[in-house]
Formats: sequence, structure tokens, C-alpha cells
Amino acid sequence: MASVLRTDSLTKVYGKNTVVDHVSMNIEQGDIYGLIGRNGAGKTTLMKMIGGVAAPTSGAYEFFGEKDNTKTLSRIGCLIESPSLYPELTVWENMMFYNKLLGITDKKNIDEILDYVGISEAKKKKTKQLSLGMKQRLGIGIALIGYPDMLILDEPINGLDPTGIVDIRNLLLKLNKEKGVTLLISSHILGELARLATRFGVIDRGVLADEITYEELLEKTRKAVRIEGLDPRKVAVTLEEMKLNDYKVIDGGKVMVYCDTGLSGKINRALGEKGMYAESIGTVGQDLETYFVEKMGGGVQNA
Amino acid sequence: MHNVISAQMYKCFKTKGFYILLMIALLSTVFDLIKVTTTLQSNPELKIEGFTSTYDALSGGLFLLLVGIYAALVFSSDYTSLSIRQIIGKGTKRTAYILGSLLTVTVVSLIISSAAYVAAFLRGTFIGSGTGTFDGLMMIRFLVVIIVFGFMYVAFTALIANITRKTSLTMLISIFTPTILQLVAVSITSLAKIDVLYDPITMMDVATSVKTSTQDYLIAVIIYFCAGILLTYMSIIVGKKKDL
Repeated sequence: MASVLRTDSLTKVYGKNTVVDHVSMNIEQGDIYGLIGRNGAGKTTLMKMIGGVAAPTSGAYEFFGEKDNTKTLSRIGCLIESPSLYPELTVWENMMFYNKLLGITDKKNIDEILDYVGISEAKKKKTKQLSLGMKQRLGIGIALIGYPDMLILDEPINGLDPTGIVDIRNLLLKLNKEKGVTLLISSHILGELARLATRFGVIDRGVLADEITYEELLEKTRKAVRIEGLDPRKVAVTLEEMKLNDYKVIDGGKVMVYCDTGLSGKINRALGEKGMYAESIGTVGQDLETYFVEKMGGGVQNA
Repeated sequence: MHNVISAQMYKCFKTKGFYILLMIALLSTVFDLIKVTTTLQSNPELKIEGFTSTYDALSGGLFLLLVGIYAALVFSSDYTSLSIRQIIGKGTKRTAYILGSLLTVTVVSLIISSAAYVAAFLRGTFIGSGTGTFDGLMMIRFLVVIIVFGFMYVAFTALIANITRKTSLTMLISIFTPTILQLVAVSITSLAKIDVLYDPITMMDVATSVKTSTQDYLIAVIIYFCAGILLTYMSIIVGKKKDL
């Protein structure tokens, strides 16, 4: 996969406070990269630097392998913090402003995008009359002007009601699947990000503490019974008899059985009945929240 | 930069602020017209000299007030609404944004003030059975001064907006600074017993006076223009340095 965004030791210091500390990350085409971190962890500052509105203290970043970001920013759409709209202008006029800014003379794209983000019915409304959910949609719509290859969205679901959250999630998934738009999304709402992202970056006190794919996350947060100190082949026979077919052997002999962890006692008894006494049998796997909270330094708000 | 001008112009003509200020300019001219007509009726021997009364109306605070308010609204609104992030995030260079916005505001400010200007020209030329006289050279001199002064004043407001990023504060500073400068200049020149008052407003008096020599007029125009360029440069430096 081609790299869309690559950062190299990106750092931002305000006075004596290092807000973003040597962050190096790589986002590939088609990724939905979820940036997770507590409030004040440095997510917005990182996105501001990437979006070209804040200068890095040190480090560098490149889009599409091009170091001159002035050439590539037009291929990027940004929505940082909250949608910045002109309240006196209508939805359509706000879009038109950015159309003109990008030198797009054809007005067809405005209706297309408004239709796509689902606010074409409100196109004649002044933006000060819009609900927060509609403003977020319009913000995403504005970011879509020029049909960018990548969208940078900072807390796009912040403050939305449950229906609004589902709508925005579906819209972002649609954008990724239908238009192939690569997404970088930040949030401190873990559950939502877990439903969206294909890769995750955990940021804690400005440091990228962990990077993990969705599959790896599933693996790490998957509940299992771990059996140690027995012949895996013999254990497998017993498990098959118990109709527990989802298991695998790891680290040269440990058997991981992916099932309700409440079954560990039953498995232990079944093995014991066949004269197999495990050195250790226990449960593993954290839930999503515990996993990320640990990575984020032990505390999270609104998780 | 062309795109920035086009977008800013579009925004300007779609916002109420522009039309309100335009209305104020037109209303003030109507009031001035009534005042002059009444004066002419009570004093038929009085002559209106071309653009003199226009200049009086505009330089007497209205022009500054309108330009200051408008420029403050445009420059700081992009910061307060955070639209500037979206604009720069779309790949617009900051220098292009500042220059484009500055040019737009200068032109629009001139449109606003010229409404009063054109009305006064008509009044000066036609009212009172043609007692006013049309002086083409004076009109050009006046126009040039208005343009360079407007440019300087807008550049000053842009700089304040780039520093403060707050609409009300920008408006206050940009409206009161010329008056404060004038007071300072008057105090200094009276203390030092200098005849000519080198402050923004008095210099405009000098530049638009029929009696002023071409050399003094050109000096005033060049000073305004250079001040505008310097302020623009400072605005770009400040705007480029600050994170959004």
C-alpha cells in the first residue's frame, strides 16, 4: 500500500511544555487511522501540524511521498476541533466560498457533496440555524471540496447525540469504502473509534505510545483460556470433544482457547479426567477500554 | 491570491455587514445633502467648491470609522470563527491569504466610501444651480489620496487583527489609533512649535488642499503608500509566525 502520510519525529513545544514529542507514524492509502488519547494528550496539536496550521518545532512530515506540503495540502481535507463556518452565509454559500478559494468554477460539486453528506435539504439555511450534527456534516462537506484523497478529522463526533454519532460513523465508512478516502480521526471515545478504525495510534502526553492494527487489537482484547505445560495435541483432542474448536498453540506449547472464560474450570476438569494436569490454566484478554486506558497512561475521560 | 480575492469578495457581498455600512455611508450623504441644501437656501451667495465638502465628510471620521469597522470585521472574523484553519488547511498560502484579504478589504472599503464620495460630487457640481465647479485634477488627487490612505489604514487593521485575533479589540484599536496619533502629533508639533502637523489625518488635509504644492502632495502620498507596504509586510510576518 502506498504511504499517504508519514511523520518523522514530529515535535511541538510551547514554552517549556512539549505537547507533541517525536511522533513518527505512517498512514497508508485506504487506512482509517484512529488517534486515541485523553483530552490534552496532543491529538489536536499533532493534527494542526499535519494540517499545516501549526508549525512543528522539529521533525517533518510528508504527504504522498512529497516533502513540499504546499503542493499536497490541496489533496487533504481538514476538520480540526469544530466546523468553522460563516454563520451569516447559507450552507450552499459556505461551500461556494471554499469552492472559490480552490478556484473550482463548476458548482455541480457543491450539490453532489451536500447530497453525499446528507444535508442537501438544508442548503438554503443559514449555518447559524443548523444543529451540531448538521454543522459537523457541513464541516465534513467543506473538507470534501476538491475531492481530497485524505481527510483529517479531529473529534468529528464530539458533542453529538447517539443518532448523530451513528450517522457520522456511517458517512465516514461510506467515504472510505466508496470513495477510497484515507481517514485520520482523533477521538477520546474509544468505543466509537473501535467501530471505525482499521489502525490505531495511542497518544499519551504527546508521545505515540502504541500503534496497532484492528486485527492486532482484536487479538489483544480477545478473551481466552490459556493452558500451559501440557502436550498441545492431547489438549486439542479434549477441546474438540468439548466442541471448543477455536484454539491455537502459541509460544511453543501454550494453548489459547477462545471461548467464554467462565469455561476454564470445565476445561480443567475435562483435562484432569484424562490424567492431564496443567502447570497453569487461566484467563487472558483485556476489554477494549482496559487495553487503551493502560496504553494512555492509566486514565481516560469519557471512555 | 486571485482565488482568495474571489472568495473574500463573494463572502463580502453575501454578508449583512457590507450592506449596513454601505447604507450608513449613503444615509450620511443624504443628511449632508439636506444640510447643504438648507444652508444654500438660507445663504444663496455661498459656493460649494467641488469635492471639498465630500472630503470634509469623509475625513471627518466617517471614512475612518467605516473602513476601520469593515476591515476589523473581515480580518478578525476569520480568526474568531476559526475559518482561517480551514482556509490554510485547504492549501492556501498564508501570504496569499493576507495579501488577498487586504486587497479585497481595501477595494470594498473604497466602494463603501465612494458611495458618499460620488453623491457629494453630484451635490457639489449640480446643487445650487451649478454653483459648484468640477475640478478634474482635484478629483484625481483626492482619489489617489483616498486609495493610498485606505490601503494604509486597512493594512494597519490587518496587522492589529493578526496580533489580537479579536473582533472587538481590533475594531477599537483601529478606530481610535488615528485619533490618538493625531493627538500625539498635535501635542508634539505644538510643543516643538512646528507648523506642519505630521499625523495621518492632518497630512490628508495637506494632501487634498488646493493650496498644497505638487511636491508636498506627492510626499504625503508616498508616505501613506510606504506605510501601507510596511504594515502589510509586518502583517505577513506576524501572520506567518503564529499558529492557528
